[in-house]
Amino acid sequence: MTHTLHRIGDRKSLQRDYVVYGLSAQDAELTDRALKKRDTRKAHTRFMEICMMHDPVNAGCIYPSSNPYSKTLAKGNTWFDEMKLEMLPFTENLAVFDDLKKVSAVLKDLKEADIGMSIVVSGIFDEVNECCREAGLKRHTVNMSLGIWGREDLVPERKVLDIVTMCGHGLVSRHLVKDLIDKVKNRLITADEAGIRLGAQCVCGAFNTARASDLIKEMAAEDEGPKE
Amino acid sequence: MKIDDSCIRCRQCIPYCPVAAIVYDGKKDLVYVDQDECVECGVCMKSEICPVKAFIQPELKWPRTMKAKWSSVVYVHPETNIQGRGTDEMKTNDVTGRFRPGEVGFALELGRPSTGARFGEAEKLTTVLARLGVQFEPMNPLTGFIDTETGRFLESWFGHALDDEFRNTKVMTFIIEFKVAEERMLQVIEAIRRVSREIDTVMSVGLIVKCDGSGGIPIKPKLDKEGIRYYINGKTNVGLGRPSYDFDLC
Repeated sequence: MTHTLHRIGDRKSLQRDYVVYGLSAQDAELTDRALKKRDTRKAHTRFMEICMMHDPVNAGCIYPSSNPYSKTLAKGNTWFDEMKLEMLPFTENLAVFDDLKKVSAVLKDLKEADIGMSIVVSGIFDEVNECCREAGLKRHTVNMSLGIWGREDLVPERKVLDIVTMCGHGLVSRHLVKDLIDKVKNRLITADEAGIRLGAQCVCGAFNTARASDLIKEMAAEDEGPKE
Repeated sequence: MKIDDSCIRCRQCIPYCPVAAIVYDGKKDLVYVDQDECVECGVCMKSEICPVKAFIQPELKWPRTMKAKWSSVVYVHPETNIQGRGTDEMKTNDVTGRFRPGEVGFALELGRPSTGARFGEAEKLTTVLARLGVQFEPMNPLTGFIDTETGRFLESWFGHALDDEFRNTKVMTFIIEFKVAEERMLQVIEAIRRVSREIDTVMSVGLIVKCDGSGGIPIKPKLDKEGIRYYINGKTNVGLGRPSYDFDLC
């Protein structure tokens, strides 16, 4: 599905928001062919090892099985102790970065590792394209967003949208965002804690907790009015 | 999802619901889940915010079962054997060759962002799209509900009636996936824009295209010329998947 598309924000804010996704095709015949050529479990593990080396702000693994489940950094799971040990052949993995230089380094390492998985980067097109060039890659296919159509009166205000659209599965509630802004404003929790609390609702790990904290900080300050 | 009698009315759970289905009735001093609005995503229970564990998950019956399945991120749809609400779409295009040069893929996700959608809204679009002769994605679970010739819902699906109760079933989101020849892209966009004024929800609209030999995006000039706005960000498949699909065979 398209869960890392449609992330809203201005260029400055989006410059702290990149998702690197690694997956094997969910097609029986292709998967079979691919499996004959490589150890998929090993490839998924290597993908995440490379991502984790470059310090992502969040990351997640979805473990498909008869009873599917997921683990993410924002939910408090740790890579080496919990996520890595449970890596399965068809696990879906991703990592979120707040710095383009890290994305560039990840792509270079992935190209060198040649693990055979499809790799997708969500982020500002021209900057991701530059990363591809630096890594000696040429972009293959793109997915563009034409934005939100229909009853736009039903969606929350822009800055709240900037946060909730980082969970493309729709699990981060706009009302929770507002509730946590109030708590930050009243100094009951910090903006960083608010970012983690929001990220914990995201099942796949694509939610950028660091960017959410920044946006909450901004909104809490705006609500307080101008400083004397 | 329901709330049992152990609820202490602390109301801490209310903001956690992505579709605002948890309601406090001040007159009765009661917190309950609006069953019509609830999309059975389970965020309330999984958040573990309730201090007395008052959320209970009753056994679901058709068509309510669809709420849980279509709101889940990890559910594997048995009819397609694919996990989640859509397909791999362009994410594995370097391996599958699903989108070839000269084709444009569309993904219309109804209910996104932050709104939810009822299945009946899909038909408003699919009937128009079928008339335009689009190629619906066979591995998308929503395609399984429709007659791809007419775009209408089938009368039944695996023995379940696709009736008004089904049409009125609200889920987190669902995705209509299809592709068309590039020369028809603008016509289809215009048709979608017209129908978007009639739907009772929102949708996030995505376009997919294979890049040209130098990594360029071939549909950009057409979108720019027509003044069709697109975000500066999106998804890029960097072409590392193996075995590579041989696009030269197209």
